[in-house]
Amino acid sequence: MDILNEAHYRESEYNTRRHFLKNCISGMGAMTLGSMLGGNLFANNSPSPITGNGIPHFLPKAKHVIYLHMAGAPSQLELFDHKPVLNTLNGQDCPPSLLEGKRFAFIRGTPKMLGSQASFNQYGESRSWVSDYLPKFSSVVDEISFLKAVHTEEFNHAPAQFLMQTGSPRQGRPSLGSWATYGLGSPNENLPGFIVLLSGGVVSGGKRLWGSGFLPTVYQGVQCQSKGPAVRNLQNPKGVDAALRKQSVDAINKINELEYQESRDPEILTRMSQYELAFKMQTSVPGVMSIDGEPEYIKKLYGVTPGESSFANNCLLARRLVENGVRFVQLYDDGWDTHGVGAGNGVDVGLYNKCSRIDQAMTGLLTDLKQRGLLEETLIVWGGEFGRTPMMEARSGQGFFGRDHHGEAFTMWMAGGGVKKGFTFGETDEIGYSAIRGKVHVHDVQATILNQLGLDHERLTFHFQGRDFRLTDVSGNVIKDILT
Amino acid sequence: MELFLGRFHPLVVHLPIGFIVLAVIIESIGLFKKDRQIYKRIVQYALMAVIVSSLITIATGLLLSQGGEYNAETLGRHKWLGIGVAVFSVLVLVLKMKIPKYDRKHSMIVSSVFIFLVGLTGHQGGVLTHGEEYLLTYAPDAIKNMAGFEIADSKKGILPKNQDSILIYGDIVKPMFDQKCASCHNNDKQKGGLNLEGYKDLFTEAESGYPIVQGVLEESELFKRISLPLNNKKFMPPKGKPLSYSELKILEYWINTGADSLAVFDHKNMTPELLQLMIRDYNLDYNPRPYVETIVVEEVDQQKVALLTENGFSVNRLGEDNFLLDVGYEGSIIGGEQIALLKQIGENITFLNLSNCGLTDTMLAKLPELRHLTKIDLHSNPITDNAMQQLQKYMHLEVINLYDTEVSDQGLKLLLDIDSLRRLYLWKTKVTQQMVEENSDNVNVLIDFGGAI
Repeated sequence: MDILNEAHYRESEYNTRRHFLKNCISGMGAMTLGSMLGGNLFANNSPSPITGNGIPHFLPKAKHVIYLHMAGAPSQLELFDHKPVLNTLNGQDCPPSLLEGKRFAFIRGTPKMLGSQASFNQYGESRSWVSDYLPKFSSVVDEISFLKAVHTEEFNHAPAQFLMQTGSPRQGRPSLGSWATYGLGSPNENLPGFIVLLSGGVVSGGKRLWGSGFLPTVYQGVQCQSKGPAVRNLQNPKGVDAALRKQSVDAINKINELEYQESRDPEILTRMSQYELAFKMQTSVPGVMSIDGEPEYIKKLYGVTPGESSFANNCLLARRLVENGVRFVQLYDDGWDTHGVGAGNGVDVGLYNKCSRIDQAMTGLLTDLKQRGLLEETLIVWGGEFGRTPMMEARSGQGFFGRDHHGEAFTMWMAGGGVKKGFTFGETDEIGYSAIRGKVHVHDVQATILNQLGLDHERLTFHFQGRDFRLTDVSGNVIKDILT
Repeated sequence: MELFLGRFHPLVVHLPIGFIVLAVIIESIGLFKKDRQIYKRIVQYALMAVIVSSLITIATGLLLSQGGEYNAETLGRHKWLGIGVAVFSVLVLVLKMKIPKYDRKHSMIVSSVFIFLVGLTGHQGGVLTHGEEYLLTYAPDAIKNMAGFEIADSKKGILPKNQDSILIYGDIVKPMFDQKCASCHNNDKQKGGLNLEGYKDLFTEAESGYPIVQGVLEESELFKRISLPLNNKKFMPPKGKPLSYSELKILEYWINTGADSLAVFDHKNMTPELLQLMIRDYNLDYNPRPYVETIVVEEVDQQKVALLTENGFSVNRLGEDNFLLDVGYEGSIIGGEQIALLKQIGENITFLNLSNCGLTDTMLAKLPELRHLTKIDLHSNPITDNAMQQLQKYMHLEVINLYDTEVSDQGLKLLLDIDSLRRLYLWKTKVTQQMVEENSDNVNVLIDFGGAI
């Protein structure tokens, strides 16, 4: 390289977006990986072989995750956990032995047992139990691994959601999606690695459920919407066109770069890449987030409702996002809290109606991912933050069929991404009250999700306030029984 | 008969001990009394009882030692100490009767020697029956330390990290013997003539037969005894925790495969049940690993990676422990030159994604040899049956995604010739339902035909 070229190169290093982005991405990658792997990896100063992506700990089975969180907690006893004995006990007083030493969110005194309001049948070659609340879903059970005995310590929505999504019942920890993108990076430079889609109402845990906690904020979930502008506050103000916006972003980042050279504050890099990403998203997101271009048969497959932020629309979006390389898509569908405090809020009519709004969509999502070969590399996780009691809550005293929060045993399922097809793991007792076999904790589920992405949950750590933190804190075992 | 009488030894052994203690107590009381004659008389009778009962004890002890189950060294000590006690008591009796001026000082010395001798003999006897570590197994570490015991490392039981180097004998069977069998079958004490301390001892004939016969489970007495019904008299171990089902199965596997001291687990001859048990109880997964996990390749030159990324490819590593690559084309139109570039890192590519980039048959024909290719995604491209011959070149191809291409029944036939093929995606192609159904009994290949159009 002659001196003129070198001068030119030097100058371009300060000026061009490409150099700039490259530096900032490899800088970030080196930093995060450095802290992640104790600095061994980059000890020889070799550049990252990948464009902004982290290296998994071991061979991954899944590249993407779509997590369908049913916020409010659906009743496992009306959907998947068939308990004929409970039905015969319907209306009887709950024996005190089940209540001793237990805390419930709302149940007081002696509740009555409540048989399942749904009728069950076995489906598929796997003969998995599914109720008539999910008629479409029963056709795809041979793709599913059920976890029938998940348990959690929390019995209120927000703490339980935090535990499920961040590994701690108190807010402030990085979420599952943040850990995944922190560990692996985002495969698509033009889209965020972690996208959140909401339907059905406001989630109790709020935005902190997809926060990045103490991880760099570049890893926090970006909330997108299927109604209105895909991402809020992403449009250019009036009178500002794309070229001007680009110039201003470049100018701001130039100043930021200088500031970074002096202060070496990693948050500056985060902010810079956020500006860049936001700029790119202005062109990339509207395309990806628009489902209008999908053919009719696909819309029908999911049962989409144009112009609404429905669960079906979000499922279709989730597929589109995964197809475009988004690492982690998190769906929250609220409204599953079936206490039976009113006619439409029970595990009979209320839950049935709620199920009918997700049945086709999640079945469609599975079918569509499968026919595109995407289920090979995408892990789907479905579940609430806890389960519901085999006892009737009867808070209002008006005899609506409702169930209280119950963390001791509930059902979740996973599909694709290297989990067994048509498999059931874990079992609850005759009334579905507690686990008798294959009991797994929330942390075990999280460890398993990271494992499928090629990450060792014990090694994916971040040093903060004097100690290494990890998603599963000090526990968690990969549920090897459900893996292929 | 010898052993019948011999086994009364632990019973009668307490008689002389009791008499000695009695003699010492009375002697001590007598020291402080005026009419010492009476006490002296009682002590003399007690000593006579000691002599008689210790003779019986010695006799039964000698008979018991004929059984040969005990460590010779400890046995020798115990024997001579026991005889010593008897001799000493005769001596003391004689002295007591002969020496009139028997004073306090003499008395205390004699009593102390007696107590010391009895204690030592008793301890040696305890070591013989229960083993050396019995007394202090549950002692606080400080006491163990004083006694010169090795303090157990709590991490000792954890298996080494790399599961392929776990030795069945050294890491699982031996620790299991130590924990559940060694208290009766060790170098010091061999009940039934069986010693489980050394590897060689497993093949040395014991009283009821050969403990382990390599490769012949039915003739291995040890396995027979631990797998009897729990209430059978011959069931081992007679007390304490029996061996777990997994431990039995591991032992069975190890004996059947030759009981080599350096044997390791090999999925090829493990039953599905044992594979599951190993996962459940030992967290060790010996299921056969897919081809992709067995490939070993060298690290790829970073400049070559840079060349590919500059040409629109994404290149991702697939783990810290391997140098395999997942390569995909990110642009919307690919060219022949770009495809040829893949040759640069061909050795490392195992997943390749060339979907939705205008790939044609002629371009695909330029795809270089990729020795370790296991998955290829070619969906949404104008490729036809002509390209399928190309795919036959890849020996380890397991997954082919061809949805939304021009492939027809002819192409499917070519693809099904690939032995390694496991999954095939053919939604939105010209392949007919009929053709897919005809091949639905092919258990090796899972064809996904989609359908929601």
